[in-house]
Amino acid sequence: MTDERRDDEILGRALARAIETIDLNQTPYERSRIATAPARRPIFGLWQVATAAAAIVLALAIGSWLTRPAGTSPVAAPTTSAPAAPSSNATTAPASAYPQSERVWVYFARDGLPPTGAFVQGHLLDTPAARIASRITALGSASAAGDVPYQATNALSLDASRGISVRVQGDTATVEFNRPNGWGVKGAAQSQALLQQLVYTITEEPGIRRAQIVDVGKSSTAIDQLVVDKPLAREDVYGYLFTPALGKDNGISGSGDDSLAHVTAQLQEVSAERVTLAGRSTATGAKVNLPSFSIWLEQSDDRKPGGGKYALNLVFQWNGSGTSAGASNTSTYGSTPLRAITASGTNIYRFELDDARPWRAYMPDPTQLVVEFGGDPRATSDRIAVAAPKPLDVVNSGADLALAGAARVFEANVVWRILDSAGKVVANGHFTASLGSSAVWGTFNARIAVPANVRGNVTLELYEASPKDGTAQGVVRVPLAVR
Amino acid sequence: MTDRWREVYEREYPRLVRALLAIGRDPAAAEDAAQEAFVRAHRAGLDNIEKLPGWLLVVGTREVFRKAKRARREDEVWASLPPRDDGFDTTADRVDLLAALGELPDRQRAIVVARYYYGLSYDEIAGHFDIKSGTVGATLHQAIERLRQIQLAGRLARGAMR
Repeated sequence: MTDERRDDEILGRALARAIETIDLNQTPYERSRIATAPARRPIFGLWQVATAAAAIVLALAIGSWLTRPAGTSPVAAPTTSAPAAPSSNATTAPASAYPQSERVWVYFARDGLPPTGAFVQGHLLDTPAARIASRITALGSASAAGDVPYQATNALSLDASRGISVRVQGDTATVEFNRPNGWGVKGAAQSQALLQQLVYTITEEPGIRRAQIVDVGKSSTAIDQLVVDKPLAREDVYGYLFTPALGKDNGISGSGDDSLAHVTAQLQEVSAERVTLAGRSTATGAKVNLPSFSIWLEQSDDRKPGGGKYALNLVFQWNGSGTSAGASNTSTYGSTPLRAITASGTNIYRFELDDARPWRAYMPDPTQLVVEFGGDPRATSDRIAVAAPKPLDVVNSGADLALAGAARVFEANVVWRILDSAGKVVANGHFTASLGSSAVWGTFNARIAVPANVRGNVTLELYEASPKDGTAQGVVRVPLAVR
Repeated sequence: MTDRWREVYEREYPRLVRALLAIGRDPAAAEDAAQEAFVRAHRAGLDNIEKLPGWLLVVGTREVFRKAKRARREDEVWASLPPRDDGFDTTADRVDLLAALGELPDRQRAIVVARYYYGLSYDEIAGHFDIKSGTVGATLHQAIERLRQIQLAGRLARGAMR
């Protein structure tokens, strides 16, 4: 294949994946025109009358790219006949006359970051255990099929993905690997990457939260030097130094402007790791201050359509009479960690997530709220998240370094220091974020000077100085190269 | 017989609607055309159709275009695309790609979807869409090149606004 053809192929595949993420509410077979055609009409007249009364207004939600509650499009109902009663005896799937190939959601590794999900070619079978096995097999074949997403890698070899057996008990799946040739990975980074991919892919099965990975006939396995001997949840392997607490009491409540009546909060920007909402007056359509809100993380139920493993709830106060109205609807995003958003009216949102990763909320101004999920684990702690510089960035010696991010620290005072490769502090200082230790995070934009005599690998540390004894709390360590 | 149809329907219907949505960009029309394609396949009989997926796609595509000619309506759906905010956001990339696809001429759009989403071969595309098999490759390449340019232009425009 020429390079040109290959490039075309890559873009074509990306497009296919994009099309696959289009979310639809499928018209069930019973309501399809072929099932309701006159020739198939059963003789039970009463049934017809009864089911005809059930309106066949079917909605297609174009989830992947709707920023506001998706509109529904009534579909032309078949004019020829009333819908027939569903045939009840069609439960067993007959042997297929066509090869079944569909797209299967699996996880790929990213350097220093939590794994990312993507669709690959595969065949999903019909029991939880069989589906888990088929996802692993599809993941193992992904490299050969050219299905690895951009900037991601696949540490699972085709070889290791074969001959597996899966046992499901409660919320734990035990996967037994038979890999005569080993796992095929070397070093801590690759081992960790493979473990992440396996745990995420195995627990993708709805209702499964923990994965136990074992060798045939054993109760553990060793991925190079990494010994795996107990069931692992996604949070055990995602790489963040802490897992956020669940529940409303551990959430964030923000006091907004409740003097305005009927303010809706509209989704303004949605990306895999960040959602921005803006206040809008229903009366004038103008951008206005957001009302009070609260946000909290809780376990979700991924056995329900559109459900993730965890979900962040965001509820804005509705001021004035009535409610914000509007039906609840779900938009699928098909990204990591954000899988879907359910909006109820225009003041209640639920963000369905892949895992319980650190999250934060800040307000760039009173009309805007930003909710962030995750970030680079090296640049994220429970109270500081650094957006710039990014880990492994190259910075110039003697030049100013721009720092940006969010923090929730005592008196908004963020302390920083630069350590050389020997661990010696070569520069330090502090700056203030926009807000102090309020529930809502503050943001910061600061410039610090990198000393002219410093070269090579350094670590930029940001932390909160404990108000009690000045010790470093919530340290973030961003590795950088100075030249 | 019913069971066979149910099976075919449940397997082929979602992908057909997605493809027709990507080609025609109108949810109601896509659903309608997909239903229509199944009705025609049903009339023709399962055993009389070779390569049903491609057959359904072609019939559905024709329906979509026929309807689109009747009422060419500009879609608000694509106008409401969320703006993207950073480089690696996969959701935005997908949205971008779908939006770019919408800018291609009708026929190119259909062929791109047939090739990359349905995985039809050049010969199958030529047969189904009634074009010379020699021109399928060139048309595809042209279409993909165009997609790439539109996507790039979009990125540059956003970069400039920041």
